Amino acid sequence: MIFERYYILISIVIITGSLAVVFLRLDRRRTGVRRLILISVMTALSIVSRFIFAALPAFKPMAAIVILTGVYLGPEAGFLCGCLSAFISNFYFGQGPWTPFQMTALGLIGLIAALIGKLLAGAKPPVSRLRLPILCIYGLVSGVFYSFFLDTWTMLWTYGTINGEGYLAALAAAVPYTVLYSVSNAVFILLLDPPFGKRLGRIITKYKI
Amino acid sequence: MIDRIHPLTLLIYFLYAGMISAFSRNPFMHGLTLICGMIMLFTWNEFAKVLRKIPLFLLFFVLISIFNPFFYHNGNTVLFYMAGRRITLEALLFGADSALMVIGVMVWFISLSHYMTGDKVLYLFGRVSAKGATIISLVMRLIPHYIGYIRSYRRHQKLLGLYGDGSFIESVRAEGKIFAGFLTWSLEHSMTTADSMTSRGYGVTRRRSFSPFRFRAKDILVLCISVVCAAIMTAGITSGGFATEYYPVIVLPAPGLTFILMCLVYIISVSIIPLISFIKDR
Repeated sequence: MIFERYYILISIVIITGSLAVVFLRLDRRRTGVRRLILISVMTALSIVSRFIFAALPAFKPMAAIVILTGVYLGPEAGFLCGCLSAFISNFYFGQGPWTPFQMTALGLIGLIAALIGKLLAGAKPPVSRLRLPILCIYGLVSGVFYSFFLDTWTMLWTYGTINGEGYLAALAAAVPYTVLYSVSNAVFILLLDPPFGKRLGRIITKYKI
Repeated sequence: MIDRIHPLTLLIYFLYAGMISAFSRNPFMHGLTLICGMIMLFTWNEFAKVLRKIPLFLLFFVLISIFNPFFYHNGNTVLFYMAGRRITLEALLFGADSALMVIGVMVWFISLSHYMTGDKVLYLFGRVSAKGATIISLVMRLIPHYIGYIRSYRRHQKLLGLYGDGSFIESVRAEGKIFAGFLTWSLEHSMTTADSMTSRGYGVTRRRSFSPFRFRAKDILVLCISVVCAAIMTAGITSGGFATEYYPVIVLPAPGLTFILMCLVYIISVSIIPLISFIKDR
């Protein structure tokens, strides 16, 4: 091997670079002040929720709030909320080289949630009645996605190369965590969608956001 | 003194100090990083507080070490069989080495979080994205505000006798009510903030930011040392010769002259910031 463990260096550089590019692009877009504030409020709420449930491992409403932000406030809001929730909350729970990976994973979860939300908003009655179940299933899937994404990092970090066996080992070790995380996502979407939907909808129409 | 070092310098120095050895596969380098990181902890933290962290680090060490052999069964020296799978010495030592590396990085990042105060993070983030920095500063203010609001809301509810009789279900119901009220308040309140930002002219022109950070001579010194030493270390690691092979048998290369020189380069380069601050403080 020429440079042992170069995969990890390359992956960190690529992921940090792409995050920087996305942020630079987002900066060019004009976002209304009210929308910007709503994004900050949702981010703060998701971080506070991580504090409240800090004692329970993996059982957290953070991703659920990110998903709801994406659904109600659009792709930019979903991405920013996910990304910055991971970034800021890690100041309290521990920063590390894993931070860019968590930021990307949660940002993508929020972004995809917004796309699903857009599809659901334009859906006809038989599908639109299944809105909440679809969001819950997305919550489950996003929990699994988060685990797969972060375990890529675990594999690169411990083994230094692409290592199928090591990846499976990391996934297997994380199974209880993943299950709990996915279920908590679905449960919290189920619990939080009615209050958030009602209030955010009201704010959006009242203040024309 | 370290407070006055430019954020970019600080970031690059800590990333170099914490992560350079993570790119090699050598337990001595990982151990050295960990020891230097611990010494760095002592420069800002109280002795007793750091000592109290050590059991936690040891716990991490054991957990990460035993994780690997239970899932990875390569290696020639079998220690014992568990559920028909081989538990090997090589896999155990590989895990221990990984653990050493992870804890070394963690220790350095603890110091980084301490010195990277909120204003420095905002400064660095604001260079990339003004929008992101705005959101971060708003969120940083909102978090303590929200926690305080929820606390006082809960106190009021209890005082008015609306919190329930103390049974679990009643408490959950009361917390749900507090959450609903809090949510309405936080969203409405945010609109007031938005309006006051608009009336103060947010978003009218391009956003500029004020920063008290100047790039001084010592920043250039630290930055140059970090970058040059990172290059030397990378060249050393790239040239190979001290990567440990774990599978199928452990081959630990003997520490040669290059290796000792690299360790020296590392020690001297990471001690630059504590050294400058020590001299200035005197």
